[in-house]
Amino acid sequence: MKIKAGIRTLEEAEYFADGGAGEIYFGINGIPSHIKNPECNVNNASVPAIRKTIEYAHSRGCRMFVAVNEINALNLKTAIFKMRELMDCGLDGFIASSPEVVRNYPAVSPVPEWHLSSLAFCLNRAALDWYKSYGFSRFVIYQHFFPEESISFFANSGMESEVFFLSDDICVNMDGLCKGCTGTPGDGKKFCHRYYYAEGKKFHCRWIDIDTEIKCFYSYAKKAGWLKLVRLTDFSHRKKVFAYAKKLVAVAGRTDNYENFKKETFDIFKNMRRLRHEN
Amino acid sequence: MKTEKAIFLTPLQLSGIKKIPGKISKVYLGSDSCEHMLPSPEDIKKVHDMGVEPVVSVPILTDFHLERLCGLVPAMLKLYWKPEVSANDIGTVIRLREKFGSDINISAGRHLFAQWARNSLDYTAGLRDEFNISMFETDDVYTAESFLQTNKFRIAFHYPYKYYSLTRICPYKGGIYQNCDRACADRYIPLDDGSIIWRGNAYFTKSGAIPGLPPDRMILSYDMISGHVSKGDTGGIK
Repeated sequence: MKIKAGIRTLEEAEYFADGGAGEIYFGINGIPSHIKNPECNVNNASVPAIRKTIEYAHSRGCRMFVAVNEINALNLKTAIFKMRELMDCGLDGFIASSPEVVRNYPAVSPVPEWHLSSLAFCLNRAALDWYKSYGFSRFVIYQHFFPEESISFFANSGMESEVFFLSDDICVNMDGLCKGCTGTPGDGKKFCHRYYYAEGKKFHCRWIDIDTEIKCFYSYAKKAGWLKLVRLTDFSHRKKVFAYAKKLVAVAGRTDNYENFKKETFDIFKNMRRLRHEN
Repeated sequence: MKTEKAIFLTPLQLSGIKKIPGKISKVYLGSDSCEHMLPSPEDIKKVHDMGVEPVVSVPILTDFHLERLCGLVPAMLKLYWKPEVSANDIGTVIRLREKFGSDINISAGRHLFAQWARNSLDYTAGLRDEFNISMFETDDVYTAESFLQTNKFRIAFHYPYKYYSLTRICPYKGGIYQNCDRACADRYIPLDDGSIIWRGNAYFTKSGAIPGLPPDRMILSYDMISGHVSKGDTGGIK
């Protein structure tokens, strides 16, 4: 399993490429890619700066991708124009959710590699095959999609695979289907972060327990090609996440026994929980 | 144009109902947020026997639950002509068309349509034609009006609850389960600040807004006929 790291400035690319990330991805202004645009984008980067960064990453054996998964009908044309510009800079491909984007991308060289975004909400094999028919060559396991449910995705799908690092900042409610980040009635905090009261009792959106978290990591580490680290948090946080992720990937790579893996990594998962709460 | 009226019921809500009001011609049976609310053949028969046509509603489905749905459709086909399924992901649409061809009607549920509606009108129309989608559901007034204006799409409007968020991690038990004992009992629980209605694994806001142009179908919430939102105890959930 290799690591795909999200960045928010071009300078961060150097850190992750030098640190051994196999791929880096980012978002840019003008191409909607995240509900938290523009704060998690690489903002105001010039074309020469992007080209230089891509060249540097490639020199370190690291490929680069841009997220284009929130493109809509209103910005499709301008987005495609920018996407072509990025491909001419040496970019390797895009993370997209809509086949319409793939279909509208012109058949010119260089040809982008298309990775399916989690915002496609692809949870069954029939859906996966449909996306593949449009040219997607890699799927991502949706955060709320557990190993026992996704068996068919790894059975001769003919696609590469990646999985989110669940121990990092992953939405409790279904990201992209949740309106909690765009406007919350009540106290102004994101719905999933706050405690709420119903019928006089206190509740909180629930996450999985640590055992399930470890099991998911181990199971996917044995099957998926890539571990995806999100780009939502500040750089210092993501550096720590990257270090933990590398350790976990290394342990999973040399361990063929789940209990041994758990024993060896339990503290890392505990630390990741702490880190998540600090952020 | 006359707006058809439907009511949305989960199997649990159905169990407490003996009669569907006369003006309701369709019952959406199931859930567009929780796969564990797939109705049984008996549920479908009960609705059918009340003289109302059931529409089976399903959320985004995993392979496991998609096959459960496919196992249910023959029971619908035995009861009535061209049963309707409201699907919320493209894989479900494809699998149903592969397996049952034009024997069933498929509508695009509010989550699937929200995904498609972001794209161009031509793209959505292309999918409608390719998969013979008979109806498009939304709870968003702007989306409903903009598609109704084209006169090219049949629109069903969910009222009065507007979808807010959902999770596959059970808020009651904390995990993801292939089998479920329905611990939520599918009650409507208003949060104490009144902002959100919590129901099973999903959250809703109360909209109250109706499109300026009449939709082809109104899908009313259960409490529109039952006249109440649960204020009972929470069954020990924390």
